[in-house]
Amino acid sequence: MPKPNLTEQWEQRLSDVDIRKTELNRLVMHYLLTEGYKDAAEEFARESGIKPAVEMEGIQERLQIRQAVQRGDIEDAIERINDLDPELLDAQPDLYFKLQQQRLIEYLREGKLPEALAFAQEELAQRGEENPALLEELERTMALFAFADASTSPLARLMDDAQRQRTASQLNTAILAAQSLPQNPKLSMLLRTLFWSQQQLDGKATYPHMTSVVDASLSGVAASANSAAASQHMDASTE
Amino acid sequence: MPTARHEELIGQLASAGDGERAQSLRYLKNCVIGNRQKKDQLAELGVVASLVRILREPSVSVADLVQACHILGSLAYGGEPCLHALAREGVTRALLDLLAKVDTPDLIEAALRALKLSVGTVKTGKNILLQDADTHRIVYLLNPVAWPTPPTSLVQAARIGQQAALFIARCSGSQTLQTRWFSTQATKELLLLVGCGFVKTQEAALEALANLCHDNHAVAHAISHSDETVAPSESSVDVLLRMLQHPDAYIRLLVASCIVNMSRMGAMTSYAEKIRLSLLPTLIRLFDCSDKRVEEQAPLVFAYLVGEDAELQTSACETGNTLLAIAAVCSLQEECRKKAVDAKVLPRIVSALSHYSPRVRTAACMCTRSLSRSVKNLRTSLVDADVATPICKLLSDPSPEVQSMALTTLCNLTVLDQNIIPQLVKLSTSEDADISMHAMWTMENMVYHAGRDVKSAVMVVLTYDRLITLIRTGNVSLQERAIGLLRNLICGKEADVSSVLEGVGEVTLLSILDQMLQSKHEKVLLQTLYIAVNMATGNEQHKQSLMENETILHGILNCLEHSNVSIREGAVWCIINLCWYEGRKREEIRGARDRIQRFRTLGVLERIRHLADDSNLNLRERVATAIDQLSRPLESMEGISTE
Repeated sequence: MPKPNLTEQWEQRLSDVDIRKTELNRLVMHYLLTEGYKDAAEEFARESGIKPAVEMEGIQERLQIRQAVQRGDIEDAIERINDLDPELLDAQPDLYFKLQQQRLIEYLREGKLPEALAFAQEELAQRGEENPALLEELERTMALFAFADASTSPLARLMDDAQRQRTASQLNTAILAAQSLPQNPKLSMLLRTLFWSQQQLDGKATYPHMTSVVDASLSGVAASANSAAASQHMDASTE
Repeated sequence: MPTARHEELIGQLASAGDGERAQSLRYLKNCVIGNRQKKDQLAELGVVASLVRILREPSVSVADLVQACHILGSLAYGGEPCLHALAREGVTRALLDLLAKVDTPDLIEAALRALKLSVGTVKTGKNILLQDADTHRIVYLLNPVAWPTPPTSLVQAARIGQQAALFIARCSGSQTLQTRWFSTQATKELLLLVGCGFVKTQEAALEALANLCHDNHAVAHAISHSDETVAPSESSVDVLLRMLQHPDAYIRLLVASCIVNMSRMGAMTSYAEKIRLSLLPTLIRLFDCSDKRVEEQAPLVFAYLVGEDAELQTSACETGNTLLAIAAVCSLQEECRKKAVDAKVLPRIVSALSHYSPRVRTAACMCTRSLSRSVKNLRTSLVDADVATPICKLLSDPSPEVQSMALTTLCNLTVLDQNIIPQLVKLSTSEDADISMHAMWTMENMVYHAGRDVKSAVMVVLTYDRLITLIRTGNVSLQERAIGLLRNLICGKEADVSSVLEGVGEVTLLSILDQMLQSKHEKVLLQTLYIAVNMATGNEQHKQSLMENETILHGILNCLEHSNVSIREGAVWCIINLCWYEGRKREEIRGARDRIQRFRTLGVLERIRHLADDSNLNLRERVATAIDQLSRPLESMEGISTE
């Protein structure tokens, strides 16, 4: 166990590190923009007095695309993507396939089996033939047909809201990359760096360990189990 | 979707009426994007012509034009029907004409994007015809922030610059195009874009610069001497060298590619040290990149950089880094090849030969070829690692690049596997002269000093008729290989000569000799001469048919005064063989005596004496033998024979 005053000493040292308010504000703004929180970003810009940078561009469109995917209206999402960047889905066939796959899943969610089957035959089958990796993915999706209630099947994962979230995030990243805009919030990058650095220190030094990003509280001793749990948490939240 | 519905939609494109056209354009756009089948179907129904008509129509709304451009761009991602239609309807020209007269940023962006897609790749873009007005306009569009009224959106300005730069990148595959862009200040504007801060636009600008100075001395030197950069105190080379540290791996690769292209044109001589210390390690580290594009291209850029530079190869070996890289640089130095083999790189090359990426397969073939330049490797390590088998497999590779490189590599390896003969013969009929030439070359090497069984295995599939056709082809390098193959077939024992004479037919063979000994191409002449040399090792009849044909005989003798030493040597060999006799058969000795007599009458002895103090040692030795034979007392020959 560390000496009682170690945490105090540590906090003293940390407070010597100079971080400016405007830098923190920019980090928050960057997070809001890359994640597509348009209203929040505008509000935050007003309150904090910092100007939104180029990242503000197209945020409305990206938000609408994300919302369309999240409510399961893939056709609308695709049309909006084509308006925003007409080359994206041609240049990235895998992404297009993901969206079509999601469309198929949405048919199944609504119980529209005949439509689902027709759609799979017309839009997906050929794509699968062209690409073996996609075929496997397609077969997995098609297996959903076999279950009376797909939501209780072993493939339920494909049917839940998290699947929509994953598709929406992938899409968002691809759009940002195509527009030369930053794809990952710098904030999560910073936190990853923090946990990675702690892992490097573990076993080499005794120091107060940050165990939770939420309240940034320091524990007395570096416990590697904690840090692993924490970084797992990070991965899940940024997926 | 049924064809009737498609036709109806295309029909609506022609009706200039208000909302209907806008609606069908939008519908068609969402139809084709992402779906290759629909692209091809619609192209076959004539959608491209309808769209081009819209582009050329006066007073079409900007919104409709934008949609039409988007559809055309998407069709460029389609299959053959789309590509044919785009070319046939003159889409590139229509888009260039459109761009000349519009100034709405949205439309400019859409038209540039479609334009870039319409030209396809650097390979297909080579044939694009551009007027001065076109290049001026595109170069002007590169930097929208400098327009009198720039677009309000910086991101859009960057996208416009990106599309224009990509168009330039795809249309700089020939000297003519490169020069045209250069004379309209494209390089200057592109250098400004390189520092613009938008990654995709920077990538595009770098790609364009790299392509513009590829194999172009003037452009490469102009770029390296340019001070037109965004940073006032930095030269263009400073900027590029600094960007080798860019966080984006693809940018690093493109920067490297630019520097390498300039370096190959001798435009980087004052930066030799920087290249060794900064560029080389950066490139090598890029081999292990998670970005597939980078992983594929980095070895090629690397090989191009060090390909001709022995000093750089040494530097590369010293880094002891990525094995594939080291193998790629082994083309010149035996020491490099030894180090590569010692580093146990061969198993990695063998596995790279079946890598999923065609570029990696190509690079692996290149490595093998470099290593095979060492005779020692050819006989030992390459055989142990059995590289020939996977390379033979690559002869049927779906990618023509890989096929071609595999063939080129096989040429050096002595392949004994007769199973590949049908594939080689098939490739020898390829429309691509280079592939067909290398297929012939591989077979030529296959029958070199080979047994009768290998020779006839090749000829059963290839056939003499085909060989004769190839010899009479207009393509000199192919002709050279075909004659070389014949030369290797005929080389050997008397039986080899007889079987070729039987296969080709004596009359045809003599007429080939007759004709090809007049060839102006030294390589063709040399190969032909050696057919005669080999034929002169045959039996009396073989020798006599050479002597009895006046044009052939004089063709051979004229080679004695040829400027090329190998050809002079070949002619002397021919005379030696014709005057040679081993057996004690009266007929043979009498034949040799008659030929010596004939040569003397023709003044050959005097002509050969002129070669007696030739600077080439080999030739002097051959000449000594020939003089010895030709000055032999003829009576004594008769004497021996009567014993």
